[in-house]
Amino acid sequence: MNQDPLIIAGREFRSRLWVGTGKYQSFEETRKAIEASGADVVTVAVRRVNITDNKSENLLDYLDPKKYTILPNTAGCYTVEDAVRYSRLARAAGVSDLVKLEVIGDERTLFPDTAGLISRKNSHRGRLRGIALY
Amino acid sequence: MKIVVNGEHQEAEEPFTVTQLLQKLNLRSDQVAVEINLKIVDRGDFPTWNLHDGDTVEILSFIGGGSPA
Repeated sequence: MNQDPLIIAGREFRSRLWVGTGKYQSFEETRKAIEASGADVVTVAVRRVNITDNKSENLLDYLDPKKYTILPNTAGCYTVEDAVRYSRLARAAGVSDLVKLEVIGDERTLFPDTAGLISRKNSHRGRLRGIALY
Repeated sequence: MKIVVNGEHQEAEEPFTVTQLLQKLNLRSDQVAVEINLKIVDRGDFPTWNLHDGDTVEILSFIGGGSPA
């Protein structure tokens, strides 16, 4: 572990590795991989619940918020307005007041529209804090 | 009354609170965010927030990943 902590928005992190939660075969596999990584920060996506096919298990059942900083991202949003809306909903869900703000810039490659995001996020500055841009 | 939940039409008998809706959908209130008619509902208000005919409800949670499925 790093003895020189990373400090973001007043929070101290031991590891500079931030890990995602996509593409795993199961929540248990996700949990084990994240534990093995030694990361402090774990990103998750904010999504509409599928109410017609709701699995009883939830990713959050496998990520201890006392152990990890859960960092919701706004991947899947195509506009800054949607990303801000999802950010506020993520905060309301209560897992974190940090957000990884991103907007899809290219539908085929899913590359983010970073330049557009930076230029337009300023209009929302008063409504958001603790932002990591992607 | 008729409400729309995440794009799906639902029927319920009044009074019907947000907490009751989450229970019906087998969702834990501490793992979701709820928006009604584009207004975020504080978690503390779930038990007393009555839904009304025509309400549009969005329920969000967290899943693994980033890019769209």
